[in-house]
Amino acid sequence: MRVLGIETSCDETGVAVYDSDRGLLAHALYSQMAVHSEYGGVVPELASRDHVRKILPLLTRVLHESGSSRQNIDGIAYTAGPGLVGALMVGGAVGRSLAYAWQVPAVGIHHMEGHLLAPMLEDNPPAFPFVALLVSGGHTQLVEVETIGRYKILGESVDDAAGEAFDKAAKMLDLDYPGGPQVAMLAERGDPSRFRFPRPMTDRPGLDFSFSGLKTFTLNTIAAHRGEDGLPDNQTMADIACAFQEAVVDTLVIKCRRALELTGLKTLVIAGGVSANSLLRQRLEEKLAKIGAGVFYARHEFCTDNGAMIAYAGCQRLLAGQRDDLAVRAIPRWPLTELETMEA
Amino acid sequence: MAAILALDTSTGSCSVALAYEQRIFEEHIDLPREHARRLLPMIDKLLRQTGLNVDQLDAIAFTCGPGSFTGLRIGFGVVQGLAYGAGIPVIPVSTLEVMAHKGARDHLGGNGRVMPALDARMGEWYWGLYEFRHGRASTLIPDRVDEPARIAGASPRKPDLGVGSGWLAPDAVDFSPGRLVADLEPDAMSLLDVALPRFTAGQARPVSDVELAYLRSEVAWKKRERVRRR
Repeated sequence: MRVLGIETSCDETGVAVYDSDRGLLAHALYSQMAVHSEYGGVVPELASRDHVRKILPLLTRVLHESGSSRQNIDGIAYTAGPGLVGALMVGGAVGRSLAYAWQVPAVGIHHMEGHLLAPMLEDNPPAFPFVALLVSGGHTQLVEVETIGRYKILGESVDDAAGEAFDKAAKMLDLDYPGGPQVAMLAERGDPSRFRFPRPMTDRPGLDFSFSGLKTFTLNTIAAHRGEDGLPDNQTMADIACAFQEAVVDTLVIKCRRALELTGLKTLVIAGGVSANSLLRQRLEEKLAKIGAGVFYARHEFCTDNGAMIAYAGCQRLLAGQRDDLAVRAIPRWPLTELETMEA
Repeated sequence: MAAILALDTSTGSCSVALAYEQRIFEEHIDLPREHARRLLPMIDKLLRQTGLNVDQLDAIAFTCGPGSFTGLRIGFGVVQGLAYGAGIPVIPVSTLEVMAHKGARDHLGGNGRVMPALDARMGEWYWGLYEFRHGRASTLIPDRVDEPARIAGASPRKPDLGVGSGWLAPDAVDFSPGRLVADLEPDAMSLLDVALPRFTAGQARPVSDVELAYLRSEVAWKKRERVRRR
């Protein structure tokens, strides 16, 4: 089965073609990062407008590169939520109506299901069941994954998502949006022994996270070392970035390990934008090897939003027989636990 | 006769019309925020009534703005999917022109000047000025967005008829049209009236060449954002 996938839930327009026999055939992404960076975050109306402009050229490119046309596309998957409702509408309206014109089935995909299945696109995919750490600008969740569509939330952030904390720390350190990669780059030059930031909620049982306190701690540390221009010197900034990243990574690692111990599972999947963080990957591999568990993640370009993960998830659901009606689905808030389960 | 599908999602109501073999079929709902769920089923119903599929359409007409940003994008998104998928051209028509046409046809016998105006929020109107002779329109002032108080200065010629939600607050302008129909909304049947002659005149275009006419530009919008942020 060959499936076209469309992702427009936030500020990236992603289109891809996945074939259940031949794997990923083509994928293309247009990132609006440059549009939104001057605001320090995504402006929903501008995001929606840009999706409208970019979606047909991307479709043409991906169909061409994959050697596909209406004759051999068997279904269309689009991101139905969660996300920015206006942005979701664009991919949903185009995807659903294109499937109608081509007389093939359509399916609306949960964005985070796309992320947690993204490692399945790699050569050495994880096997069910596993624990997934979904970690991005909008989510920090530990999920027990029995199979596609059967998810149990083990823990989640009670306030900011980890990626959001990175973005906010970047702003305080006068870095550009999106902040995650910028903070990580600055942290490389930092001295990890100079500051020690707290590891929130690790001293009590449970798998929930809290990152808003780290934000305050960062702000106070910056204030305590402020120079004439209102910011600390460059080395101190790097030391703060380093301590911040260490604290976030350490917190995530502690909870992941705890989740594996609680469930008795030996496989961890990390997905979402923050799963591209090198220090997080390295620390998880080190620490989880000690308890005999393996870590799986997608290649860098599939950690952030993309069409490939939507095409893959859509293919699995279409193969299992799921079919949507003619409504364009756009669900801005949509708990992962409310997905349709699939019969084995 | 050509088979032309027309759809309008620019305001609170949502309508679809299909011209085929000298007949016109229509579906209409008046439920705001239901466009995304209902539009494709309405199109499917009309196609089933005529036994056509999307490939057999000759063109798709749609209101390309101004209007509700999200509404416009739902309509255009569906147009993009259908037209791209079936390889058929599209006919974008100004929402205000459709309203002006409907007003001139229903209230002026097809002759006179019509000023359509939609409430654009933030104290502004989307408006234009159209003149009709025997039902044929010419544009006197192309669609634009302004504070109503500035319209008199921008439009030396006054309308015989004002239509659309802007006129729910007629005191916002310091002149009064001959007549007012503030509850007039665009619809797919009136859109077809405007679009059919354009199709005959060879004015349908590839969907990839078409953009929505939001009128409120991104530049103006960006400035507002900056003020809010700092």
